[in-house]
Amino acid sequence: MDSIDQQIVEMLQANGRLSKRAIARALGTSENMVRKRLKRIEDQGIARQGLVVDMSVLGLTSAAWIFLAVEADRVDEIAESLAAEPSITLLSLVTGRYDIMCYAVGSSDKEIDAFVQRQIDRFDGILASTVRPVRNTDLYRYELIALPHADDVERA
Amino acid sequence: MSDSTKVPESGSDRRPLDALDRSIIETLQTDCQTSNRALARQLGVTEATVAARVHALVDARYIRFALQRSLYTLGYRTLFFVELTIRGRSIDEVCGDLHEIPEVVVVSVVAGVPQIVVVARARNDGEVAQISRHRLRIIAGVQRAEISIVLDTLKFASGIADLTDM
Repeated sequence: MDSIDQQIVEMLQANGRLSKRAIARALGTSENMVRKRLKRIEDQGIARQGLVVDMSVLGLTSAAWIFLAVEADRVDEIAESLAAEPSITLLSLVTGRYDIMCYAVGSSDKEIDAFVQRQIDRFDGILASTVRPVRNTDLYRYELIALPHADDVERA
Repeated sequence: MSDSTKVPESGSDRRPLDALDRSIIETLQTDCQTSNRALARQLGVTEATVAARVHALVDARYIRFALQRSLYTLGYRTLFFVELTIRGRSIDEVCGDLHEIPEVVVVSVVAGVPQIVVVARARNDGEVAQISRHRLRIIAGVQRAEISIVLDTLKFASGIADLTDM
């Protein structure tokens, strides 16, 4: 990223809805140049312009952390299947007592419990599960993301 | 760090969403860079109406536009989870201290013990130990901090959040 990229990023961090025209005007460049640079920033996995929607808009009022201990040779298969579920918004493979930690959203705690039970029935490799209903999201820096395969993009 | 974690105060008295609000949100979810002009044309209303609605949606914390930066390209190659057991201090006070730590990305207060689940970032595995020792375990009221280091993240969708609580 050069200094112009940096300025574009800073302006969008301050106001995510700033138009390309307004950015171009502020930087004394063309709208087309801003578009090209933004596309490159996004393609390289550095940043993306995103919309964050409140859970309630989607009818989602409950959330829970789900921790799973899984048979060693089935971790990847189970993790990939779970990550494909729309109600899972975050999924990581971790060290420690559990193998998979994920975040689930739903319309009620009961619905999330039922979701977990369905996964246990679906995969016979889940050895232990812990569901921690979220009472309050105190902090969520949604301006930071782990873009999938960002590592590969950077190396390429 | 940008200030996008700070949200306007007006979220408490929310106007319920109508069909036009929902159409605007749906279109913006598909492409958040859709201009007010394009939205107006698509939905058969004036650009001024769209601008006012979008402004009101942001103000009521229904939506938020964010430039989302990749942790990896910012130099944070390691994510880790911390489950905090709290004793002898209010959860809110501990959360207040967690807010001050730039490496902390998510703080969830959950039912049961450990009471808090944290997601944090580090530049490398070695920094995890430092953050744990010098930032997390020294917080008053933290009795235990159980760490799980992330080996791989398959999904990190930042498109949905609870915008009201924060």
